Formats: sequence, C-alpha cells, structure tokens
Amino acid sequence: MIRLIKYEAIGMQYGQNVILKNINLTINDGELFVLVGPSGSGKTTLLRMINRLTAPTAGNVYLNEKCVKDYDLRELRLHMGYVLQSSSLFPNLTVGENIAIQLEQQGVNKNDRRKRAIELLDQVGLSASDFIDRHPDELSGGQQQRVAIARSMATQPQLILMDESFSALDPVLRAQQQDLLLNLHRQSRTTVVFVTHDMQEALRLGDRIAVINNGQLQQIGSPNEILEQPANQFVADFFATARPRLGTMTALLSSKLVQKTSATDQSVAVATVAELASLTPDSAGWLHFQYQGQDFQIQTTDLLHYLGQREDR
Amino acid sequence: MTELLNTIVAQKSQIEQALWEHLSLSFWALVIAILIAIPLAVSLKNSRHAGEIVLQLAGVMQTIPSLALLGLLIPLVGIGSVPALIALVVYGIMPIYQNTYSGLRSVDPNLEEAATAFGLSRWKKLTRLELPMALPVILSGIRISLVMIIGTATLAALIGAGGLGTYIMLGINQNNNAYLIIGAGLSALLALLMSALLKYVGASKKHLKQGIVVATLALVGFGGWRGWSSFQSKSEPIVIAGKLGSEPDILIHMYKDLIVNDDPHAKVELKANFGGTSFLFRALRNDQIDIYPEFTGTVLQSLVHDQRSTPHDPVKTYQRARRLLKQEYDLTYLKPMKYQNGYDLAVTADFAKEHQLTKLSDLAKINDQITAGFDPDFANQKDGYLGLKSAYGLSFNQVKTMEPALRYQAIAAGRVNLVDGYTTDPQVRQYHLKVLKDDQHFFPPYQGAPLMKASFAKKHPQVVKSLNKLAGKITEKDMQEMNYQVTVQHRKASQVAHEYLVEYHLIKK
Repeated sequence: MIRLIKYEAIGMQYGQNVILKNINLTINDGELFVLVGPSGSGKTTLLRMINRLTAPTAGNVYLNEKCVKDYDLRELRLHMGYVLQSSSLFPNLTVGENIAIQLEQQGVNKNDRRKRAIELLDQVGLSASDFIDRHPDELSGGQQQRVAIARSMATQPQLILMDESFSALDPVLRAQQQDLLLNLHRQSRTTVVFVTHDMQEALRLGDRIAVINNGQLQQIGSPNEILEQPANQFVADFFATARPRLGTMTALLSSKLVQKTSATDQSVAVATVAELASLTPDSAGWLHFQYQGQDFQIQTTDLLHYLGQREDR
Repeated sequence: MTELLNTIVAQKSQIEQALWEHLSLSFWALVIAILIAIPLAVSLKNSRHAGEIVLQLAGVMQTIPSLALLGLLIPLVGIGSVPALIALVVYGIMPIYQNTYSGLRSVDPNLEEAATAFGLSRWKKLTRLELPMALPVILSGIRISLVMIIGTATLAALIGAGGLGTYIMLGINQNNNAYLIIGAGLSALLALLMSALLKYVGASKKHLKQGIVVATLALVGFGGWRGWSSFQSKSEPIVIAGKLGSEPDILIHMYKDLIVNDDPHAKVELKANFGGTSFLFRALRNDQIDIYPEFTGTVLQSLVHDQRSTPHDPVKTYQRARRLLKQEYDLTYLKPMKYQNGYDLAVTADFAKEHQLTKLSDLAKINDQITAGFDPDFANQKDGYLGLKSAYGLSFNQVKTMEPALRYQAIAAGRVNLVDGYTTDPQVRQYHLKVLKDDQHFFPPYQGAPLMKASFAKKHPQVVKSLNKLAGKITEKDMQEMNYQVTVQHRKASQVAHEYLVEYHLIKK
C-alpha cells in the first residue's frame, strides 16, 4: 500500500490552549479516510493542515513523502479538491464556471473547461444541459452539494478533502450524497479525507476511521475494529448508538460459544447475527452455519443467552 | 416663464458650453475618484487597521466645506479647472472607497476560504469572486459620488472652472431667477440622468459591459480630441477674463473685438464670469489669464497696499493705482474708460421732480421725508452711509437694510423712496430712476481699465494700442444701456459690445 499522507508528531497550540497533541497518522493512497470526533475535537484543524489553511505549531505533514511546507502553496492547493459544508459555491458564477474554476486558474481553455464540466455534471447525476448555465441560487441544497463535489474533481486531483460536506443536509439527502460519494470513490479510487462529527456517516463511508477527541487521537481502524474493539471508553461510548443491536459476527465468533466444525450439508452461509438467529436448529439444538467459508455450530440456548447479555449491556 | 424661455433661447450656446464644462469636469472627477478609491480599497481590504484609518480620513475630508477646500487649494494649485477637479475628486473618493471597502470585506468568509483552498491567485479571487460580489455596493457608491460631484461642481464657477455654477452665481448676483433655474435645474437634471444611467449599467452583466465599452470609447475619444486640439493650437491665445456679471462680459468682448479688428490673426480666448476680484488677480499673476478689466477704486482698496485714503479725484486715483500696481506687482494698467462705476444714491424720477433733486446735497433739506433701502454693507460702512451722513449732513427718517437685489424692487413697489446702487446698474433704466450727483465727490471713483502684466504689455504693443482706443470712452448712460440690454433684454454680450464699437467707429464693421 502506498502511503500518501503522513502526520508526524503534530501539535497545535494557541497560547495555553492545546488544540492537537502529538498526532501520528498515515493515510494511504486510494483510501476513503474518515476523521471523526465531537465538535471542537480538532479534526477540521487536522484536515486544514493538508492544504495549509492551518499550519501546525509542532511536527510536520507529509504529502507523497514531501513536507507540505516545501510545496508551492498555489500548486499544492490547485491540485487538491475541497468540499466544504453547503453554500460554498460562488453565487456570481454559473454552475459550469464554478466547477471549472480551478481549471480556469490553471489556464485551461474555455472549451475544454466546459467539456470537463459537462462530464463531471454527468458523473454526479445532474443533467449538464439543464444545469451548466444556472446560478447556484437556482439549485436545491442537494444539487448544490453535488456541484461542489463535481467541482472538487475537476482537476482530477490525487486527493479530495471534505469538511463536514453533508452535515447541513437532511437525512435522506445525506444518504443520497453518501451513496454518490461511495460510488464515485469506487470508480476513481481517488484518496478522500472526510471530516465528520457523525459516527453513522463515518461508519458508512470510511475504509478506515480515525477517532479524535480533545486534540488526541483515540483509535485508528476499520469500522469493524472500531465497533468491536474500541480502544477506550470514549470510543466505545461515542459509537455505542451506532452498534448493530445484535452485535457483529466477529464479536460472536470470538465469544467461545461457537465451535468450528468440518463442512456439513446443513451449514447455511450467513453474514450477520440476525441471519444466524433466524436459522432453524437441528434436533440436538445446534445451529449449523457458514461464515466467510468456515463452518461453525452454536447451541441455540447459548446464542439466546449471548443475545440476552447484550441486551442488558 | 417667458423670461426663462427667452434666456434659454438667447443663451443657448453659452448654456451648452456650461453644460459641457460641467459634464466633463464631473466625468473626469468621477473617473479619477474611481481610479483612486477602488484600488485603494482593494489594497487595504486585508489590513483592517489601515483600511479603517483611511475610511476615517476620507470621512474627515468629506466634512470640510467644499468652499473652504477650494480656498485651501488656491494657494497650492492656483485657480481654474485643476483645483476644482482636485476638490471634486477629494469629495468623490469617500463614498466609492467606503462602499468598495465594506463591499469587499463583507464577502462571505466561507467563499473566501473556498477560493483560497482552491489555490486561486489573488487576482483571480478579486476578479472572479470579490469584485463581482461587491459590485452592486460599489456601483451604488459610485452613484452617490456622482450625484455629489455634479452638485458640488456648481461651486467650480467660483474659481473660474466654469460649468453650470456660473449661472447659479450670476442668478444670485443679479437676482435673476431665470439664471438660477437654468443653473440649478440643469445640474439637478444632469445628476438624475447620470444616476439613472449608472443604475441601468449596474442592472446586469450585459449592461455593465456596454457601459464599460461606452465609457472607454468616451475616454479614448476625448483624450484623442484633446491631444489633437492641443496639437492644432500651437500659437498661444491671449486669454482675457472678466468678473461676474454682464458689465465685465461686455467689456471683454469689446477687448476681443478691438484686438481682432487690428490683428485678424490674433487668437483671443474669453473667460467670462471667471470669478471674484482676488481670483482674477491671482490668475493674472500666475499667467493663467493675460488681461482683465479692473476698477481703479478696487485696486487702491483691495489689491495694493495704500496707506492713504483713496482720493476723490478720478485722475489722481488712476495715477496712484497705476504707479502702485507697477511698483508692487510689475503690472501695467492701461488708461481707464470714461464712466465711473461706484456707489450712488438713486430716487424715482417722479420723486426727484417733486422735490427738485439733482445732487446729493439736495437731500439734506428733505431728511424727514426719506425712507431709504440700503444694502447692509452700505448702511454700515464708513465709505457708505455713515460717511455720507457727515459729508452731506444727512439723517434720513428711516433706513431699511435689505438684500442688494431687493432694493430696486422695493423702490419700484414704492416701499422706499431712495436706494443705494452702482452707477451702471441696468435697473436705473429699467425702473426709470434718477441718480443723484455726488457733488462733493464723497464716493471713491471706480473707473474701469485693462490690467495686464508689464511683460505682456511689452511683448504685445499692438494689443495695448488696440485696447487704449477705449480710453475715455463709454459714458455711464452707455454702460447702463448696455447692461440693460444684456441682463434685462437677454441680448448677447458679444452683440451689444460689437454694436457699440461700430457705432462709435472704434472698429470697422
């Protein structure tokens, strides 16, 4: 895996006020990486260090193994996408001009800019002929955010930064935008660093998640790792409401109630605990199931006991 | 109303000229103010401290009365269009700067940050985001400034920059409502029109582009025309200026006719209604004008440093004025005309007949029957009524002080039976008044004569010769008549002047 961004011993301090403390973090090329934490945790500050809107008071940020301080500032930013919270479209420019603003700065000619804008509008699911010459105030919030995403992809950047990009949208629109982002990310494999305070969103989007609180890094891991092996009480509490009610397969398998068996005809492949619970036991009360190619069995009474314990927690 | 229309018809070309002067002065002041204010606001928008300081400073400049500002500028840059332009620019900067500054600063910080994060250059940010966002506010600032400039430009007439203010000043001076309406009405109309035009321009991007193209064309065209005309007129014209009013206007037209009559190739430029005494005198000394008609009494009382009291003998007065002008300022004062334009007292013809009045000493015997209407200055000056009282033993029954222009109306309406005035006032003829002879020569003599630099006189002996033809010419009656024709009958000063010269064979037809 190629390392794209490295935070090295990052600290941030305004007088006595400590914003960030000794952050070490790497983000890999092609990842959709989520920085999550309550508001005021320092996650946005961390994001803004990548495009140097904020400079750390200690440590360095590296992009492609080169310290961001050593980049030409304009070049650095010009080759990065950036999506803010809603309403960051320039109201005096059309949708097409908004999308191509970085290309315009790069000196790309007008025809090519328009072509690219059409292409991008298509990718974010807006009809180009319908939208390209409109002004932002003629768009709904969701459409505006789609345009903002299209704009961030205009220069085919290696990296897109997203700061609470969907937080101002209602839940339905937010889910749509998340789907769109996941889709686009799957196609392009562009590295995305996504900041949010919403753990549901973090779990939904993140290939890997970094949890930050009070300026300190709490845990880095896949959504599953964060859920199942929270590094501390803060992480556990923060994600408590996001946990599936019946727990995860990983948690169940590690509970010692489950026995590995050799392959049998009775085994049914399952993906979640809920699916497992809906199986019919054999005459001896065993549930036979297959998870990720491996055959297991568990006593119905044990499973009920296990689930009961979870409910109590 | 008919008087207004007559005036407009008679003065059509002068009005056009004044309108054009007003428009171009305002236009240039606005362009320069924009060119200063907007870049200033752009460069200071990020430094809050400096920006606020300049804002305060511009506000302070705004509070200086425009008249005082003009006065302050005269010693620095002289008179004419330059100080007027500077003063107008100083006034015009503030609203544009203020609006541009606050417009730029009120751009949503979210958008600013987005633009920064996208790696846009400062120029790109300015042209694609900040200026377009601030544009409506900037344009309204420009409109405020334009209206102010057009209004304030009326004061330019005070320092010889011409424009519609000339008509306002003439109107006030001569109590001529037609002039006042022309000056004030046209400048108001101009302000409204220009403001509407700017509003149209600001209405959409397309209009804005059209507006910029038109303004640029106007700038280029005007610059080209100026360049061409300055290239054309290589020979320096002789510039003759006159004070406010019809009389100086008539005189300078006579000067011009006399000069051109003797030398058809001479180029003479007239600046009528150029300003007050001190403006003209300064302009003469600064070579901004070459000749202007001045009164002997004025020279001794205001221009040279004369310790002694002004003589009552006109010849002595002229001699002393000439000598002191030469001595103190190296100026040449040509020989004066015949008429005296000084204070006088006038009564109605009927009243004069009834009491057999011909001279001032006749008044003492009817002191108790006289209700006088005096200019407030005249009533309280030693060389006015106060001195007159002791010289002629006068003690009028009642003295009412009133605005100079109202005196003649008061005597015409029978509310007073004696007024002070100037000997060549056209109202003497208009209202059939009788001027009483100053038989004891109390009033200082005011005789008009051309004033110029000694160096100019030496360089242009022909001009001196031409102008000297007027020496000893023009009686008080002649001058009254000519003033009457111009101010009351609205005839052109140039025509009236020309007819007089032809009639007295001073020029060929």
